[in-house]
Amino acid sequence: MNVKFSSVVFVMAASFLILTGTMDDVSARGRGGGGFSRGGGGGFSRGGAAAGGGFSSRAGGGGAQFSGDRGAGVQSRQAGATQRTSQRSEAFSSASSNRAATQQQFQTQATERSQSRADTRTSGQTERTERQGQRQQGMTDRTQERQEGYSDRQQNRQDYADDHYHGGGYYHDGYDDDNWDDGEVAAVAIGAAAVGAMAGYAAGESNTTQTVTTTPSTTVVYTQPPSSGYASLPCTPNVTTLDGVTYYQCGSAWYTQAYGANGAMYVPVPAPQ
Amino acid sequence: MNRTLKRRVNITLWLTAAAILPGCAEQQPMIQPASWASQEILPEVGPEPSAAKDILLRMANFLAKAQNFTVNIADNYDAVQASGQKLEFSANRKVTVSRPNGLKVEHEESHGDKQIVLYDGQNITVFSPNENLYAQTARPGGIDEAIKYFLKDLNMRLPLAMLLVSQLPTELERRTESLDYVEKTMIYGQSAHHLAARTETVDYQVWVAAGSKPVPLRVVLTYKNADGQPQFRAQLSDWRFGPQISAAEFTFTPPAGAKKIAFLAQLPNIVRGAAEYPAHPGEKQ
Repeated sequence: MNVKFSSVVFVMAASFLILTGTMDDVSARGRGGGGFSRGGGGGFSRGGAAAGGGFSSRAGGGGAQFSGDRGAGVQSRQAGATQRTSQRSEAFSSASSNRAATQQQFQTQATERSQSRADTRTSGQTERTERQGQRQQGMTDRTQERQEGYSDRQQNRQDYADDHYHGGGYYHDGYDDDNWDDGEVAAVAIGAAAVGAMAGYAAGESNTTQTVTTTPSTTVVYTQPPSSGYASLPCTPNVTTLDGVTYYQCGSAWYTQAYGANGAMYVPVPAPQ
Repeated sequence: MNRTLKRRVNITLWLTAAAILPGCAEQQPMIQPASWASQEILPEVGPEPSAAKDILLRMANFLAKAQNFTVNIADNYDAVQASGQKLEFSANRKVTVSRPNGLKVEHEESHGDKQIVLYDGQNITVFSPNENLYAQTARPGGIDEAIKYFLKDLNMRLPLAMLLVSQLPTELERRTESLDYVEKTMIYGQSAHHLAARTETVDYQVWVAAGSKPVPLRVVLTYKNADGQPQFRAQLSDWRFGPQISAAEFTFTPPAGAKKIAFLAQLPNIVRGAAEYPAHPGEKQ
């Protein structure tokens, strides 16, 4: 009986050990090569608006600011910013409340806020003009700079590459310039880059969520930034170091490593000269 | 017979222990607690108010005035896929702040990636111990300046960075459009004030500990304008407010064999022609 019992215990322990090992393997596969790992190849993005954990966001809601006549967009943003700042301080000082001070207060505040919004909507033009006067000088300078920037960008699409390397610079100048933590974490193309730089970019596109929406004008709205690199290389590369920079060559494509919001990644670059 | 049985049981117990112990080891926190003095040094922020705005700003002032502190943050966030599917990813980080010049964020993601961000008043460094890689750039000027540069110019990621800057009260006041007191509640075993606020682009909730140590215990951010309205959720624990920390803790010394790479945002300055490199085939030049 005792022998039987001990055998059963032994078999159970052995099974437990084997199962533990198996689970570890599964877990390891999930981490290293499974669908959710950035280094894996399953194709799931870890990026997006919430990945940055900021108290502000450039994502969505601002499409109009990036479309059509850029100059007009800047002007409306100016007015909007002034209006919003004013609304914010008014609302913040009046809307804070204590639950203990009864539901009535909540309703009153909600009504006040709705009323304030309605008032702002109806008399917005007048208020905007008045408020803009206070900030006119600084705003004018900034508007001028932005307009120049936009013109340059329209004339020379080279800036596209600049934006790309700045991790989603399409959203620059969106919303308040002071919101320094509103960055959206760009998606990293999951898995390896495809062989060939151009093909590599195409592969990056297919793995990310870039959506280009065209409108009757020359508008291009990017709902999410494109990928800014690859988690791994598609080959065992030839490695070259030049001026302190390490380059990796796969066929005709060259890469280097750089840190983006998602960590270190392989970024396509021109062949070193 | 009994001796054989005893031996078998012993072997079984050892094997079982061997199987269980590694599992226990995995449950250990990634980051060991810092060596603080037992006595905490809490910033003085006055008596506990009852209005939502005052509670929020008391918390903000408390953090802004704290010269040295550490906190552990367990966070998770929604990553909305192209298909609309929402996935949750998580991370653990330990933050050490020593104003005005010391910042250390040790960070481990759910898939095992580790990263350490260091600032010593002169240089910002990001180090990946698993890959033995680091990037470093000079940015004198203090933690506030470094954090803003890190996020805005280097386009790097530092969740809840706003809680670490000394302008936190001003930042919250500037951005918040409305604020409500939701309820007094218990969270993670502590009494707390649950506040709900709205900014232009983010709705946020914060649970502020009641009492003389008004720290945020939980933060939920909802990106209301983003597709799928993803959330970022964080539990903040083990807040410790202590004495001066050695500056050496924030200075990066590259380990043997560590390879230095660039920040992506600075690549065009380092790799000739990188900025001109076409990002997508067919893109208008």
